[in-house]
Amino acid sequence: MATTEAPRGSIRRRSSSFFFRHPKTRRGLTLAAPLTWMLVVYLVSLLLLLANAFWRVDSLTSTVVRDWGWRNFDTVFSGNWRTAFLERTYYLISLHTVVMAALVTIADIVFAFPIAFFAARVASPRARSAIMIAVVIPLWANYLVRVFAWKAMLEGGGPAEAFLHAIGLTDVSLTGTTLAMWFTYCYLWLPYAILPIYASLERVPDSLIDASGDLGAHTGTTFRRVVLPLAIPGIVAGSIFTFSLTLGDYIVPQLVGKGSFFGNAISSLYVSNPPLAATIALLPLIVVFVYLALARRTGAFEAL
Amino acid sequence: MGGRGLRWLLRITSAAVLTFLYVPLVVVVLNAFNKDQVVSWPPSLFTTSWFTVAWHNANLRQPFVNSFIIGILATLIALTLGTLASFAMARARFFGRDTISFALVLPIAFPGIVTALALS
Repeated sequence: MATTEAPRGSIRRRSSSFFFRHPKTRRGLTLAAPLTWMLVVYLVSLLLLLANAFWRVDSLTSTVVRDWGWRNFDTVFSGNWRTAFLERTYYLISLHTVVMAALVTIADIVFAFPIAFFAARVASPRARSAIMIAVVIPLWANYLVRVFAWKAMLEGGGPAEAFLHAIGLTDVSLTGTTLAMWFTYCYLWLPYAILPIYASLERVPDSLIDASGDLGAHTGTTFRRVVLPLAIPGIVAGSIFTFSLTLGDYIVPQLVGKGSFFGNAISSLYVSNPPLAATIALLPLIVVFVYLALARRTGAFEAL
Repeated sequence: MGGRGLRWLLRITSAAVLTFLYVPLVVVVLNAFNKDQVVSWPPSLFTTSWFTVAWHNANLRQPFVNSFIIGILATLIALTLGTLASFAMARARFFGRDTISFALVLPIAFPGIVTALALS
């Protein structure tokens, strides 16, 4: 490094020693660009979205009028927003989306944990990296390609039907079902669940497991009381991906299934009635916000 | 950790998960060589003509160029801002760090269509 050192008293040298002595200034300058971006792009646009929810579409000119009021919330909350009871349509949409997101999250964690555990704690270092590469590679295929893959799998005459026929189920069809959507979502987000769980399991120090064994704990006890608690942040981090990605999706219901999710309600109103679309968009935002606030307590943000 | 039986169980479930991850992609690749336009499984007639069709499809060129340009721009911006933020966040514990990490996670977790609606 000595050969690249700038001469004493030069601007480079002076500024580098200034930043060395003032870590707060250094950190502030490093964070300035990303935080400005976040502030401008997300905060401002989300505030605009919130404002939009209080506007309305003029029925004659079909343009957005900045005429503040609670009318969109009245539409969503059964006639009067003060009741805080969702209108039946929106209640069903919310219920379907949240239940699907929860079921996908549970399944993905159940699928992800064994392979993450195997890769992190059982497999040899070479097998470990081979498995993790194999887990990541499907993510390089475009999201739409992977959705279409499942459309091709599940449609009439496709491999899923051939498989069902082979095991004797001739009158069952998965085409356009909720189960088909569930399969597709589980498939789409599975690598996102495996990666943080693997990372958290891999970080468990061997010394802790040895110590647990030395103190007389069985394998099962060590797993339950040492490994699992340390893996919780990774599991919750994975669930943030699976849950929120399902919650915001609107392509899979269109291509693979026929349900109506938050995203479908938003995208169908997006052109004709942006203020109502914005009001509906607040529902998944609130759900995700509550989920993240709960997830943060487990230390999941350090495991993302 | 664990006995022999457990190891084998983990091995088998891992293999099953990897199969689950790759079967749909294999199906897509096989369908690309399927001569039949009607879905039938397994594909009975083999052809490479779809590749020629796709190659000569003029409608695909502009979208390809567009995706490429947007991809490069998004990568440049995200890598620059992401690296800066990681540098600042990884090394230190400071006041407001939790709030900033919460703010950085929000865009991942917020539904894409909501972000798109907000940005439009």
